[in-house]
Amino acid sequence: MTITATRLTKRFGDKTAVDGVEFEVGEGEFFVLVGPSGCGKTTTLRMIAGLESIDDGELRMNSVVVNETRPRDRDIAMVFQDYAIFPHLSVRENIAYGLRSRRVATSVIKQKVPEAAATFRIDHLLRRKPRQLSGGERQRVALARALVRDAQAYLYDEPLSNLDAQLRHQAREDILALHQRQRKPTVYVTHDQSEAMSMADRMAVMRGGRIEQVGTPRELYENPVSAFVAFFIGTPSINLFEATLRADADDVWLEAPAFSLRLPPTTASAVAGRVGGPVTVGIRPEDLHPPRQAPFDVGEHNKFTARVELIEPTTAGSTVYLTVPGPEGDLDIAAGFTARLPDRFAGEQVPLAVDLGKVHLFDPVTERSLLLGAGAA
Amino acid sequence: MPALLPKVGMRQPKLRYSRAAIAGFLGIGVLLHLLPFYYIISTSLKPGAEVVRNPPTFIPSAITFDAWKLVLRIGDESQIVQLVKEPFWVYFANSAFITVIAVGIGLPVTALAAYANSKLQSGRGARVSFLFFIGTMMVPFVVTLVPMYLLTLNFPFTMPDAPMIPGTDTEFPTLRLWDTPWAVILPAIFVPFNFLLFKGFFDTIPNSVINAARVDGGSELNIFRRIVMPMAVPVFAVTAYMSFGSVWDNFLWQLVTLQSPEKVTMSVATYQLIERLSTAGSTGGGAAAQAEGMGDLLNSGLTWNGMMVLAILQSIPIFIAFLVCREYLLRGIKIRGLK
Amino acid sequence: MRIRIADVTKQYVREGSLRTAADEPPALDHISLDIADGETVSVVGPSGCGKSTLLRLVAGLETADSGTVYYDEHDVADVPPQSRGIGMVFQDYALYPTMKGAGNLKYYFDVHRRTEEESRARAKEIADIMGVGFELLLGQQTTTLSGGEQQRVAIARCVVRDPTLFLMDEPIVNLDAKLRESTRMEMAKLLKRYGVTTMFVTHDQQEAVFMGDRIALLRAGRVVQVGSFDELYYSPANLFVASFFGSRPLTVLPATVADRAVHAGEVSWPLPAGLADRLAPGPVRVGVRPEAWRVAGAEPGQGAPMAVDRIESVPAERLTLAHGTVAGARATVVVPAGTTAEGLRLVPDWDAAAFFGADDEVALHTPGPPDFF
Repeated sequence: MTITATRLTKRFGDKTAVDGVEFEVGEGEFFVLVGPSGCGKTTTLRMIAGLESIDDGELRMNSVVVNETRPRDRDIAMVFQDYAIFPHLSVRENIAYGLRSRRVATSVIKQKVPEAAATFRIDHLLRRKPRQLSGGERQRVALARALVRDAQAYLYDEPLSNLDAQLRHQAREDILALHQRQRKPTVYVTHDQSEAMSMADRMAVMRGGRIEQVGTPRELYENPVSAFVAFFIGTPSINLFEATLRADADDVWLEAPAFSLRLPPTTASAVAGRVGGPVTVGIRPEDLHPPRQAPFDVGEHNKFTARVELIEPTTAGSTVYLTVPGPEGDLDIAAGFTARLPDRFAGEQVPLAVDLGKVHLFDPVTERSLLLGAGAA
Repeated sequence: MPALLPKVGMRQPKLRYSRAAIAGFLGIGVLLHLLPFYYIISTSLKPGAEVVRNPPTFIPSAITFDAWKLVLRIGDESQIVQLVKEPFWVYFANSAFITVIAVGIGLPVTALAAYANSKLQSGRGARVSFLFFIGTMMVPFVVTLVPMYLLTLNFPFTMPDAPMIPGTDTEFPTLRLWDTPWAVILPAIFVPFNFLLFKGFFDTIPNSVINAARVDGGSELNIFRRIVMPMAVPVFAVTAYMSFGSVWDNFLWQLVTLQSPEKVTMSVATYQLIERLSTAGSTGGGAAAQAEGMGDLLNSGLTWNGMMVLAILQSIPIFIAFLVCREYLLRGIKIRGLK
Repeated sequence: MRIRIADVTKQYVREGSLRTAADEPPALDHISLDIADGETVSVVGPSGCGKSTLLRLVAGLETADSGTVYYDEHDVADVPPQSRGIGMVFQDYALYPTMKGAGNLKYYFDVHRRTEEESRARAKEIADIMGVGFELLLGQQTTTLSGGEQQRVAIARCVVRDPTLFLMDEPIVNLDAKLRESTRMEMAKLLKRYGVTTMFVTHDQQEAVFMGDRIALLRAGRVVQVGSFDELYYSPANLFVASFFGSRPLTVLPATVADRAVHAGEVSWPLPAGLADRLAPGPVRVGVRPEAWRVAGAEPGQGAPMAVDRIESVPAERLTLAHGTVAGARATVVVPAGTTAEGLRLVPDWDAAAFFGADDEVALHTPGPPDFF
């Protein structure tokens, strides 16, 4: 099956919660909707489930319009953030509920329920009541309930956000394992971009009821079409700051209040029409290097200094938070190093080399990328 | 929070018809509910003779305020017969006084008790005091009626006569509540059901809010007054309305405890009126002249529309209380939990 | 101000339970913790470990059954929370819902009978620190604010009275992942600016590492280990500590040490000389972090085959991860970019692997911090 959304719109009173959202989820695709709270991602999911009516636009499943099809006729399975398991039913009956309400034969139920439970390692808990289970176990009951149905599509509404970090990894693998087995279109909603990046075949970043960008995690990370997508994808966040484009005889320079950077020729030509004007510069933390470790030549044209504020140890090295003092307030910068910066550097001024080939430039007003897509000059 | 009623698929014809049928059914229910109210109001405006006509008329043939005049001059000796001893407004004022005092003292007391039980007590102590308060709901009123009556005679003793101080021939000093408004007010102060409502609400207030206020330096009473009470406005509105109604409309207890004609409340006065009217026909002897006047009144049907007028007057304060409380109820329901 | 928690025990008697106190596991079990003046200590642990109870106890919102809490050298057992001069931030923000933002800040000054001017001046000062748009929040009813905005008001309410001790109870756990990042930075700066002693409770190890000068790990009412990130990460006291820290799960291999080699399932790895001398033969559990695996060569016998479920690339950390199973244990492994799932064979990096008892969780050998420079 495929799910196709065309100009989906939902209004609550005079507020438009979902505003002309378009995407397609292919056969067996794991599609993630990600965005900050209130961006309309959950409402979109609820429209796909049929729990929310569609004010405008079309939702198709297998090219059949299902706008007016009731949830129970859509043959979908959904996992909720709060698990939504029935507290008065045993684990066995919780898992069997979807089958029983569809009048599946008892013999089939007897066979399928333990199977589904075994997949999620809860077959020893079938007699328990939900309140006797831990959060992780409840989550797995919800997953088993979704799995047992053999639905045509799977919907997830932030299923991991109530779990401890330790359990989250396991649950993530469980969901992906379920997906591998069923190979049905899946729409997964989360506010956590790292979860989205790790799980999605393709993903959509939403903001204010609209989709900003759809693509594979890598596409969105490397080629964000807007400053918002660039900021939203990636931890620690991309460094965004304002600069002015200045041209001299041969080159185009980015003039930030405290330093300037020379743009490489390809980038320079893309923004040639904007010389003299302001741009928003985006530099990923991992594109800032200690000069000696930089995989490129470092000179005055691609270097600036900043004061180390905080060093956060990470497994891969360290994330260093720095400030560049400027006439109009300090500029906060995060840099991801592959080595641990020793604590004695705290408070010190250190040079940072910028990988200029990976700099992103955005229009400061529309926030669209100047190097990619429709926003490019 | 979007409504849970599923809207998807409602445009399918099958579902549309069933929905229309449900709406129609509910509409009939509403009409049936409103009919008695219409009948009360229309009857109070009918001329006397029309009230007793059979079959009854649905729309008054002529609108008259005779019944209203009758009721407002109910205690006048100048009337054909003096129906009750005092003018109507005395009973009204008695009821109003008792109700306002009972609600005004009762709500804060009940709310504080519930707050203490919900947030200040814990563990076994909280359970025991909760059961103690709620346990009072389990005992039917008729069981406590007589002991309570005795209690009002020689408070705080449950005896018809105050006991003697041992070794002397003087009685213990006691308080005679009987035939005073306090006999009605005091038992109405703590309402277990309101306690339950308050406690239910206070339980939903996150402890962290109270703790935050404590860390901020507020005393316990200050926290209740400045933080908790404003949050509880809707609950105060509901409980105020319900207490108001139950005290205002209470009859049996007021009949038992209030005897002097000038202390009687609306509900008791209305009852006494009905009582006198229904016995009027059979009363003979010395009061023959009066009974004859009553008979005239009865025959003219005026008493029945007079009853309707009393019913309306009895209901109006409750209706006003409802309007006032509803305002606060709606204004106050903004407190939401997390997310 | 220095905070010293000395041997504190706290036990709740479950409501309606007929069992005596002795049957219930204590919420806090002989906890001692020392927080130096101006230091931030993160208290971290899984849910139900007693970390929030400990915080409330320091705040004076709970009383200890035994043991003492000292503020500097003063036993504060008899000081009510109202007079402890602390600022507290709660997980659910705990704003006063019927007041506007400004009213929330003002309440402290009201109950302490301070002047209107002082209250307003302080609020203004805080608004400057909290940055852009903060004054707008103060004019709004708190129930109309978003989670992030509510927490900013709550933090301001905590800071406005110039407390001598900050107590933070999972302050950012209810925020969006992205918002969490910026809020924790804002808080770290605030703590640095004020230099106030802070106790920061969280269940998220990453947050604990970010906020804390030192980290105290709690489990079932006991302090398991206190120390810096390096100590906890590279020298864990037991398996629980080792598997609690790290952004990706630690692989735990049940194995046997015998003949100067580690035998796990089908595979055997010879141990380096130094390590082989230190480990007694017998059953162990080997803890290997995702970044502590080495891809072995193609020759057979050189490493354990990994059954790969999927390969994930994490551009922000320049990592490629393989998820699957090694020697029967679930494993997440950092592999070189471009690695394919077929024929992946792995060897633990013995300089970075930790050994734990097979029955107890006690560390037999831990690698210690690596030489970075």
